[in-house]
Amino acid sequence: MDKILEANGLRKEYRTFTLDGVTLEIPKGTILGLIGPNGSGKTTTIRMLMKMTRPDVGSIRMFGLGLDAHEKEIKNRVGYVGEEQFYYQNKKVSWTGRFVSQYFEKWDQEMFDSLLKEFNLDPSQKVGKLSKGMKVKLSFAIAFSHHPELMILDEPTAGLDPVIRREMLDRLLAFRDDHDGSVFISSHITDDIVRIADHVAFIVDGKIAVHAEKDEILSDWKRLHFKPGALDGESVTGLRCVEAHAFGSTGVTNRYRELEGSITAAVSAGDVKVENVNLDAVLIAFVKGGRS
Amino acid sequence: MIGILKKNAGFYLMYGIFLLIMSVVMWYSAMDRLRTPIAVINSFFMFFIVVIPALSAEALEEKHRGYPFLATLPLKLETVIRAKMTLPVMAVTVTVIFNLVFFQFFESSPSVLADCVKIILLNASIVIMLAGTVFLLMYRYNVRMLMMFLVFAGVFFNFLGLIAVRTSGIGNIFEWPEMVVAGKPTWIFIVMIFVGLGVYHLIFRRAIRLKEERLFD
Repeated sequence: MDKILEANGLRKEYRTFTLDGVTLEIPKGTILGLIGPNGSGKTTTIRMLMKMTRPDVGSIRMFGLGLDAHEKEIKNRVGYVGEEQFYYQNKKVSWTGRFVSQYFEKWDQEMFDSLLKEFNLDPSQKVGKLSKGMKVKLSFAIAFSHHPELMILDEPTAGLDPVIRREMLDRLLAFRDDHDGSVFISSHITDDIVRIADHVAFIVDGKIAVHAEKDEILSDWKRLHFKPGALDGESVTGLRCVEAHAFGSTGVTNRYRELEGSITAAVSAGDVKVENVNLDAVLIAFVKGGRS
Repeated sequence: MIGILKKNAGFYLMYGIFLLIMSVVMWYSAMDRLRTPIAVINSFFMFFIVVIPALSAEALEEKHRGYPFLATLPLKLETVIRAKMTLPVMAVTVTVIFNLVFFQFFESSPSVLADCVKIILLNASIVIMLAGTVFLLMYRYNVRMLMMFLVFAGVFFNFLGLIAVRTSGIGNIFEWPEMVVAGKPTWIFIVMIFVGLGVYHLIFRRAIRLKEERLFD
């Protein structure tokens, strides 16, 4: 499968934080969700992809082209929606559209106008007067109006109401399904990622903890409730976030497929109960339980 | 590049027209008594025509965090800075042409006119280098700090100038440029313009690196 984005060994050292060895890839026509707690390096990673931060080490290729040598060509094919919307606040929505249209080779003014209408954005309104949600909509309108092949989004739904959030996520799904577009979206709202992503990467303390297909992660990770003595010592050692309570203990494992055979009897006897986990639980396991 | 030029050109137009009108008014009010000195004052306006709009445009860019926005577009930082640093060259060119035509038209004495032309060219070469320095300082620090520095520097040099006038025995500080250009051929000052542009280009290269370091590191 064609790779739309390949980031290899990205490293960036700051005084108080180091992003280390970030390697990611996105196959064409898929959505990769980057999940991590605040301050884990999501925004730094995305800033590097947009060439807004220079990595100390590592390389980035998009559409088979090196970012350093083909910045302009690559950005023409990328739609970007940031966590914060930086626009000239004293300028009108229509001015902003005209201004950015000069730089995108495939700018579609008709599409921009129709998206403004669809998003209830008044072209004569000053950007500074728009609410946060409306600014995000403007960013989406700009990002979609130059027919990108890859959308890069940095926590685009943070602070949005559920209606707008759902609307934006549906648009991304349509972008993938109808236009064979690829999406790289970062978020600490795991519900968003569960809803749309095909692949998921967890980033914790500046390092990629896991990068795999979402379904694979969800089938590998399970929560086990077990009575004392129901699991052997090795199995218990491999569990994360182990908590003891009146009826036994609970822990999260990322090796469920390995363990499945050895605990079948205990499960049948009712000594072990297996429960599916969501991506929140996986993130908490990484943050509290360290890297695998 | 054209978009960035257009976005910032308004500041230059506004200040340029205002200051050029002021320079004409000053020339008329002093035309009988001061002649070469007024050439100094007139072309000294160049500095303000270039620096005030540059500072204003940059202040607005900082206020709206324009650079992070521009970085999301298929646009190299070098192109943005080239556009911003082309405007002062255009402003100086227009001001020089304006002043040359103005003095050509109104100055009747050929020797005074020759000195005025040299002073205008000398000032233009100095102003273009100063403008480059202002860009460098803006990118190294930020506009607010630079404005504070310029106010202090302005007051300090004014004070220094007054002391210099008192101690040197020269009654009029504006006679200094006249003394500098007197007896020298005009081509020297034309060469100085090119030297100024050369220095400005070197400053431009450095300004890109400086801005990249501040924005992207």
